[in-house]
Amino acid sequence: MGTTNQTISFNYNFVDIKLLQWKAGEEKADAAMIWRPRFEIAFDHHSRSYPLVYVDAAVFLGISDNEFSAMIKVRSVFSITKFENDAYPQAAIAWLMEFALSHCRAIAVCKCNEENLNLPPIPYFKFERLQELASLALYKSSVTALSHGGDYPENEGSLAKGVNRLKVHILWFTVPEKSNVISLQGEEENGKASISFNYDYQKINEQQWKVYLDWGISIAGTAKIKVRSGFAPAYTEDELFNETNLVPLLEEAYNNCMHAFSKQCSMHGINREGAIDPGKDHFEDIGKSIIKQYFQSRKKDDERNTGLHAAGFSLTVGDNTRLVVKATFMILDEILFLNPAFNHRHNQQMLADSMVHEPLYYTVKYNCLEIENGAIKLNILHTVMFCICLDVALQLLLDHHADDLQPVFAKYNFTPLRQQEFIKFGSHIYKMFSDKKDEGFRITNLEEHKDWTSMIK
Amino acid sequence: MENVSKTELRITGIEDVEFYLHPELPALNFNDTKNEWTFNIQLARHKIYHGKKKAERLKLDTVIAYKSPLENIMMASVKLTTVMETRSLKRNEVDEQYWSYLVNLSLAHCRAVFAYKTIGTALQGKTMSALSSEDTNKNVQQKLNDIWGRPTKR
Repeated sequence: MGTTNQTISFNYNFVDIKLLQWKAGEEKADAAMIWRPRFEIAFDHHSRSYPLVYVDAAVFLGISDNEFSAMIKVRSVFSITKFENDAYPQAAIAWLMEFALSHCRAIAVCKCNEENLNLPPIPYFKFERLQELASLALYKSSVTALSHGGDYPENEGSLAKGVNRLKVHILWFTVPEKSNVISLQGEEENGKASISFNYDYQKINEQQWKVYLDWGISIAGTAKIKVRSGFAPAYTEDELFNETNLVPLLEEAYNNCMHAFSKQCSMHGINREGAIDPGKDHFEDIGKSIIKQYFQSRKKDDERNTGLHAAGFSLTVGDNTRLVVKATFMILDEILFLNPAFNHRHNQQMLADSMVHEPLYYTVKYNCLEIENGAIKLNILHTVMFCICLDVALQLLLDHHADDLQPVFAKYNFTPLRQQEFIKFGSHIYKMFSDKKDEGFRITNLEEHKDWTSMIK
Repeated sequence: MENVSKTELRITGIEDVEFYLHPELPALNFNDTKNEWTFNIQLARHKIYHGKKKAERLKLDTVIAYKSPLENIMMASVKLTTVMETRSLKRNEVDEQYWSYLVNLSLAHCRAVFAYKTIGTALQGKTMSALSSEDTNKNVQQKLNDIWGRPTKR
């Protein structure tokens, strides 16, 4: 392992280097274009004796983040000395970012050689600049958290013609010793397995849908997980809400969940073998209930609320916007699913009473986190949902609840300065979205003030 | 690292990238635990001028190789040159930390090329460890300090 002495001393080692993305268009680079780096930092504290740090470095060659002629994204995985309270010094992270950029630089040169491109090399960034970027980054608790990323399933079966896979997201994974969930497991016997399911969808047009299938697996006293699998079928309504077409998607989504559960258990040192097979009948029953629910109620709701699916508001890319989006969902994830200091079931119900049902929350969250890829456009419904989430996060941060979250904030690099910025820019965005009377329309859901500080427990 | 920033380091290119993979790699029956990484470095200094301003171009040739010492087989290697420019350096600015930094930087380039080029081969996922300070002291700094005393051509 290497060591470095600047103001701190720590050990690190290289675990993996992986090219995630490379794009180089035909548009030629010109002198006005410069390489701009962006980083996502994630920690995995459970995988081995040393924590793993995932540094996803993306570097864009262009005149702005949105207009670029080339980009490369490389994941560098390091093992690192464990620091007390998981509070990693910015200098240590900046040092790893330097390596991550070097990996991008070298692989970009290989790609340019292969494709006969003549791009300028990714430059050397001063350590002070990297420290500044490290201080701005919001660290993630795992490589799948707070990310728009996700992964395509590892074990792909065949799907019907016209159905495309979207990425699979591990929504959360918890281990009872680490998150002593207050309400969900009280009556369950240790070792008892249970399965849960929910879904959401977005109708793009008459023949194009996005369907999100959320499976949860829980083994009392061991661990639990929730995984979202997305599909984009080019189906008509009758084709989609049809048992023959729906059941294979349900089965694949369940297999993704089971696979992720086994993998996460293994990563957390939990010994368990074998799959939990709910049986073909279970998938058919769920398929039938989705179809029944859609035609009996959800379709009518959709028709009544077509206005909610109209174009809502846009968020453009910038450090402050990214901070507001990520911090909002980081805080919400803690109070709804992860942090043992909160009553998750109660809080989920409070949000559901304000229309933010769990599957819809995930849809809004991942749509918003797409801001990593560029500007996002939300529909009215998702705009309102995001504003409610933002309101909850802002209120909690200004309340005594923030005390319970401080250890987590330290882990995420959500420093007091960043918290102040979140409050400042988050309040600005909330006001911008909620106060639209001058523009000739109103969002009534946001006009009634809710005291989330007393509602969240 | 602060010292490095103060020397206004600029990386101007990575040149002459070469990758070697043993043609019979999939068939090689190598004992994984015995395999080892080796590396070598060479530095060349070139005095250059930006207008009338003195500057230096540093070319760091770096090779890393993954070898099976028992069978004396080189399974894969990467060779490349990292080209950097700095303002004209004074001797006392070139301390151990500075060299260690440049070598680590160039080795990072080699590691990345190795990782990228070995995708889909039996060596996928093999990554050269970070240099220990002993490695740096014994194999890198003395050599580089010696070279520093003998500037190469303009």
